[in-house]
Amino acid sequence: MSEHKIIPIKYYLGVFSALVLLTIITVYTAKFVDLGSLNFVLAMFIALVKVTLVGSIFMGLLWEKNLFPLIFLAFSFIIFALFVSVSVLDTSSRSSLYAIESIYNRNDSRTPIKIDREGLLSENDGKIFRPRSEIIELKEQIQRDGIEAVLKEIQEKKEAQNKEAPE
Amino acid sequence: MSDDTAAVIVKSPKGFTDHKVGHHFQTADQEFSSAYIGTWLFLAQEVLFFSALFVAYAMFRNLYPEVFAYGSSVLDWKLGAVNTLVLLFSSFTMAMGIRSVQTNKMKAAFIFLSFTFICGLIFMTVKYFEYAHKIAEGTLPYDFFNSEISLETFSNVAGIENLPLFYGLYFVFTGIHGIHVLIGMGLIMWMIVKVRRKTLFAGYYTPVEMIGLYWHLVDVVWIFLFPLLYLV
Amino acid sequence: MKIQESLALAEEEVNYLSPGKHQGIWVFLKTWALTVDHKRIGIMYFIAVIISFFVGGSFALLIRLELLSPAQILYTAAQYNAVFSAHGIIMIFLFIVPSIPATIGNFVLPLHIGAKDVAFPRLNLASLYLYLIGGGIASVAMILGRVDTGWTFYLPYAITSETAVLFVGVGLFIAGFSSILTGLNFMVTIHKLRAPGMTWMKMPLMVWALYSTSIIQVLATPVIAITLLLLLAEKLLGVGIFSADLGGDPVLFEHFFWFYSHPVVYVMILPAMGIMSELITTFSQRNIFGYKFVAFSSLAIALISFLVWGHHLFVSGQSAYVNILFSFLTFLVGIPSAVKLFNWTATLYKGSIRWRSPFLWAFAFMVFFAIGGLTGIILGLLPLDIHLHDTYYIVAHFHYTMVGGTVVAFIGGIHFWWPKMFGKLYSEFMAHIAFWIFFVGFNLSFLPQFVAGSKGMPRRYYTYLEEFTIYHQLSTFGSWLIALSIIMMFSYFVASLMNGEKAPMNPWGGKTLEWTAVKSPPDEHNFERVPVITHGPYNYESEEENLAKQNRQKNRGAS
Repeated sequence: MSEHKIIPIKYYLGVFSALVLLTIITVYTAKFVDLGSLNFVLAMFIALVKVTLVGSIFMGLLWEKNLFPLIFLAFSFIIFALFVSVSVLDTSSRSSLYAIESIYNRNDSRTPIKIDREGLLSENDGKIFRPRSEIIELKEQIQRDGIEAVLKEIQEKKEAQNKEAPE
Repeated sequence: MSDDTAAVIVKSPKGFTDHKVGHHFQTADQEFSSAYIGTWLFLAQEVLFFSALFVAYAMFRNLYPEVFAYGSSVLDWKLGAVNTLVLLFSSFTMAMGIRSVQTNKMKAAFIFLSFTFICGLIFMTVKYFEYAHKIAEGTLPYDFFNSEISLETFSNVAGIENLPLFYGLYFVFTGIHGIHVLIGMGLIMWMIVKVRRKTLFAGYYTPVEMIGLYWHLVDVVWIFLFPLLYLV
Repeated sequence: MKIQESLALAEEEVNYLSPGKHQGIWVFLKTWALTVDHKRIGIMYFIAVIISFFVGGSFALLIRLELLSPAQILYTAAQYNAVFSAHGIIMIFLFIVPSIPATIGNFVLPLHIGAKDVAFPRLNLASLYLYLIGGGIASVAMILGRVDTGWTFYLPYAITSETAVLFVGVGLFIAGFSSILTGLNFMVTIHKLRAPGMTWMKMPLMVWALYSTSIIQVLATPVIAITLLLLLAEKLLGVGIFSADLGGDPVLFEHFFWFYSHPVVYVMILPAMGIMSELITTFSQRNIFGYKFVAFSSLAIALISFLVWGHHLFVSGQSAYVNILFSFLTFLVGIPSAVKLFNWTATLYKGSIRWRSPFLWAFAFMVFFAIGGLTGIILGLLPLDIHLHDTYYIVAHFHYTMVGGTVVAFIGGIHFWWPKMFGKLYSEFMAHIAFWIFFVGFNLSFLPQFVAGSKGMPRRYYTYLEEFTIYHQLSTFGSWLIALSIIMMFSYFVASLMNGEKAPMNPWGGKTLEWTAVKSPPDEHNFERVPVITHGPYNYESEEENLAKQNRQKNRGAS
């Protein structure tokens, strides 16, 4: 136990201020500088640097003579990386090889989405579950005909329904 | 039944309680490094525990990039940033608390550990307000989703019908992390009691060191979560 | 009278089973329930695991009974689903996973490395209780709630099924932590508590096997924990990540599930291989052939086990690129497994083999595992797997590895260490008969399933076409023989506890520490004094023989 090193306070202070600085940099670059997809890479890189700082100084790995924890941790991160990459590889390369449509295109479901303008979708107030197919159809229609036309159509439909239903 | 190895005892300074090393250990050092390796194995286990969530995140971000971009732009990054700073500060006080125990400065240890606990409390309070806001807005997972989005978003964001999936991931991710914070707070409370009872000292600080490692891991997970959910 | 009684008590040997023995039932229960002794915890695990085995086994018999004819005999299709799900869940999560590591491993590991206990004795007790609580919740939920999803909980059925999937999930989540903590405990024990002189290369191979097992337990089990948690979240909140109709992906669940469940089949087989190394060396009285290869092949299996989970998803709609990748990686597992099998055979070569009952099981393991392993390679072939997927071929394959491998090694291990555990010998004659009944019954049960499966009999159905009748009937007869042999074993083990002959310290002539330095049954603190290790674990060849060997090599070099 006596051999366990007591780390000078200046290291802790230094790491803490570095971490704060890095946090500010992440927020700034992510929110106010547009680098495209590089934003993501940069944020992950900064997170990695921060984690390395926490691990080596706060958790004391830098001074630890027993390498086993580090090796085992590295192994667990390798497995972790493998798990992520193979799963993502699977989903991203699926549809290119199968003739059948990707499962994401199946459109029968409940998707509770309301849209704020004149009750476009939320005809009955409160929670609604609309078939996914209907939502996707509607969206295509909006993109094709423009919002105004679709709104008009819905309005007409509503009026027609109101006329049919007796008071 | 010969008892050739009587229990090893770590002598403490005056006013503290001695530490009796477990009967199956030969030396106090062996006991400490067993606990040390055990804790690291537990942390590796935690890495894999969170891994599935990261897999799900990576996969759906890859499938619905625009939904995730929209979702994270809606989350309040200021609250997230505050929480990040709070957790970083608590990691710092935790490290300082351990150092104080190592150097027998019990008053400082008490103060630092209390600060760590309070930081945990602040973190959870901020989390509470975030959750309350989301519940009020109805931006929840599918079964409870009850929110409106603007027509503009609806017609411009590809795959917007999957928006509740983002909130589902958000709640599962932050929820499981929050449970870890709560457990950590409980453990730190226990350490504060131990420091008050003077059972920890320079010769024996195993539990506080191990709980420190755990607390840093909770911090590490948040360091990744914050940019993934709130920023990019 | 009183004097006589106390004299008898004084004469009785003191060992780890004695504390609390003669002080009434409550003290007895208390000393057991609060013990931190690894041996007692191992025994309690043993009892719990055996109960699970009998429950799971009864479900197996019920399945086979229903399949005696294509017509409905006992229950409807839905009830049949519940029965085979219960069989799978109990056998896998509550029996096989903890079977060898938690029972024999707990008992033997500290003895093997010359330690007084595992590194964290109280954690060890806690993991026992986690197992009991989790297992209890899962079993009750399964039996009352008639869970019918199969042991894999595939979505979307696990979400839409109105049975008690939720509670089974909670139970298995808790039981999973027992597995993680046991693995963690063992790894630390092996790292820090080895006796002086016990270097890594002087550890018995059982310890290497348990070490590799523990790596998998620590790194894979948390994934099933989070998967079950996500399943619950999916059911309660509708998170959507596993549901295609919500934009999620059910195949993702299969990725998660098999990322745990494939490594975990090596949690089942690796310690069995460890037991094999002990049995083979002891009963052929030879040093293991290629110690380092056997030791490192355990580690290699542990590492490769994390790379092959996708071969369960060949027909689930997984990407073809990934299919090819996993098909290739699957073949890699064959290498370390074959290394072990060859090394055991080479160890037996020119050994003085004694056909005692534990060795019989080692022999059976080699036969069954060769069949199970080779059919596994066949299943790893992508095109063949598409034909054989979800047929009885798979059922036969994994029963040959899980029952023919793990359960057989477990039974062999129990026969081997029984004298050490309880200090009693059992009837060798009965053990031989029970073995041969099992051997015949097992092959009768599962060999026909290979044929039926390759002809297209799908698994998990309560009925079948007329043409498969003969295979199913043979299989059912075989299951009765297995049951008979298990009942025989149970009875002669109980008889041995009641009035078995007292076991000597080293009944089999073993060379590892638990035979040479610990009496049967062991003291509470295992060793009288800390053992110092100077040689490898299996130095069966005597000093002279070794010298002669060296001389011969020298002479050869000179000429």
